[in-house]
Amino acid sequence: MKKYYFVLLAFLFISGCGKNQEVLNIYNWADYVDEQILRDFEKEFNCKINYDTFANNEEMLAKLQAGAAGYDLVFPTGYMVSMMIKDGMLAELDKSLLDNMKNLDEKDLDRNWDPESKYSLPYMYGFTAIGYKSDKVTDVVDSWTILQNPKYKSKIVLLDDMNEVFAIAFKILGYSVNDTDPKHLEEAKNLLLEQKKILKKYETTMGKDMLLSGDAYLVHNWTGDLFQVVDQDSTIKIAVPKEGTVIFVDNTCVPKTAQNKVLAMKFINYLMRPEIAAKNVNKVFYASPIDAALPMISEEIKNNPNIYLTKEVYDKSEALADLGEYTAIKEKAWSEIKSK
Amino acid sequence: MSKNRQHIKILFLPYFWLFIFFILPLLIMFVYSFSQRGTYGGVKYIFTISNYINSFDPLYFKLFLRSLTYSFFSTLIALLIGYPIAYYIATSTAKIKAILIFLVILPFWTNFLIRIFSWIVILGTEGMVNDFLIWIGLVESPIELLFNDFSVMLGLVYGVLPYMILPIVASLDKLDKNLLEASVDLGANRFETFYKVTFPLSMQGVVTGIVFVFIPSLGQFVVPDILGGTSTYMIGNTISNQFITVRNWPFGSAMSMLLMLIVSITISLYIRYSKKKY
Repeated sequence: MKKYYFVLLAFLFISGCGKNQEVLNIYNWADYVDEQILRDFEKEFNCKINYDTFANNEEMLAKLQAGAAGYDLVFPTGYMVSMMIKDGMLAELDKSLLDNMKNLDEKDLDRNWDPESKYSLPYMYGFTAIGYKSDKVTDVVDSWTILQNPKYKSKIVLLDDMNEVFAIAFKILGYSVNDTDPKHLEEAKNLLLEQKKILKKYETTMGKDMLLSGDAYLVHNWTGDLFQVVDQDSTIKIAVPKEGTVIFVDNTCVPKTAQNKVLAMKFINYLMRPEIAAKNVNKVFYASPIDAALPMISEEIKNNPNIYLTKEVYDKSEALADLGEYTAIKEKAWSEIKSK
Repeated sequence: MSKNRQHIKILFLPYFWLFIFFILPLLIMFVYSFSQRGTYGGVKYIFTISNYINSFDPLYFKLFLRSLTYSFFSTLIALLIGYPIAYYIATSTAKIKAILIFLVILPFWTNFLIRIFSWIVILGTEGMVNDFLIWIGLVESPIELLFNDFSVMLGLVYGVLPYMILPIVASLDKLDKNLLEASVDLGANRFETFYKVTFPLSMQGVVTGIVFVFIPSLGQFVVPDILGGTSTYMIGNTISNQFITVRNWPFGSAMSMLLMLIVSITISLYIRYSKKKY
């Protein structure tokens, strides 16, 4: 009996605390924030932050769809925002609480899933690139066409991802990564079938490890993943092809089921302060759409073309769009490529 | 009468189990396979047979043939390796037999995915096998052992081998030793005894082993996914892809139903044939 008494006391204690302080439940990617800014926010707004993390969009979606109603703020990637809007999962943003939107460089960033920022605002962005062993690859790596060079037969690994792989072909052929012309798709398919003859594997998770183990010399992967192995082996370099690449933008969104929408808006607004954005960039090595933060971002990050793309490449790069019904046609071509 | 009732009560649990975990999922898949897919995944319950018609694309037929070839050879190799091992285990003394059977079962204590991943470490460019081959001077530079037909076949055989060994051990165990003595007494040499007495009498175990090995191999997608390269895609990969990335559950269901149908027909014919003969 005594035991239960203690449990009851503990509950009283916890709920008593909650009455004085507001709670913000955040669900973000792992290693995607400077922890210090969370503590600062708690102090400034006299609240408590519960911070939970996920490893991929689908995991986050599954948890929300399964009824996890506690989250006030989530950080999905563009295409996932599109799916969540269509599924009616997101609440509209309250712009009156978001005056720091003026710091946002909205004109450049391709955000086809929510162009008017009704449900989402960009948080940070990264892109797809080529990681390579500089001691084994003797040619200059600055174009997607290096992946067609028979010299590196069976030392090339591409992402096992339909849209990312077609994006390579479309960029080489000079089309948009979101092209929906069946004729262009046929051209891209033939190019990829030809490329497949020198390909080792379509692989997503282990691609970077194959670079480390020497099983691959040229690996098509996301910059965040590639940075992980650059730290472990100095001969590994990253290059962004001059034809442009696929940009992924992670966004701040508020689920309809959020308990504390106002505090969530305040946090989104807080993230858009230049000094806060700069702290995050300096910590996690991803680019921020807050231009006003640039002066506070360290020189080596700002001038690293693998974090902040050069203007030239940036202008040619695009974000993946939700292709709706056309996806089925693309999938058919993709399974043809994979099955041959 | 009351004894019969008792039987029914006892049988209720396994039937309940079978219904929940076997019949029900099959029924769900059956319904899905005649439904349509929503644009953003999900299933729309509108009747269609297009999933079945699309399954007869030559593309998938080719994958099916490849899967069949892989399964055939992995079964054959598993039998060629498994039979001698089973024979050795069955003819050992009780104590050694227990240890050997324990060793055959031991790998099951580790997750299948981890065991398959470990082959990457073993077979990689800087893996143990290549290091060894270079060290003894057999090759000068690393040879490609991974991400091809070889590594997939190796993974398949490695994964199914215990399922081949155990039923054969069981059938050899039951073998009446007097029959072997009789065979020798009647003038057969050891090879003839094996060929004419031992092997036919162990046929029950061999057939079970073949079924246990062939069916899972045909639907495999984990091994070709991890150890495979660009031309090792199996029908199981296509099906799992439909469920996980493409989110076209109706089409994946239709292909699974067809695969199941083909396997059931083949296996039942095979079992009927082998029963008649032995």
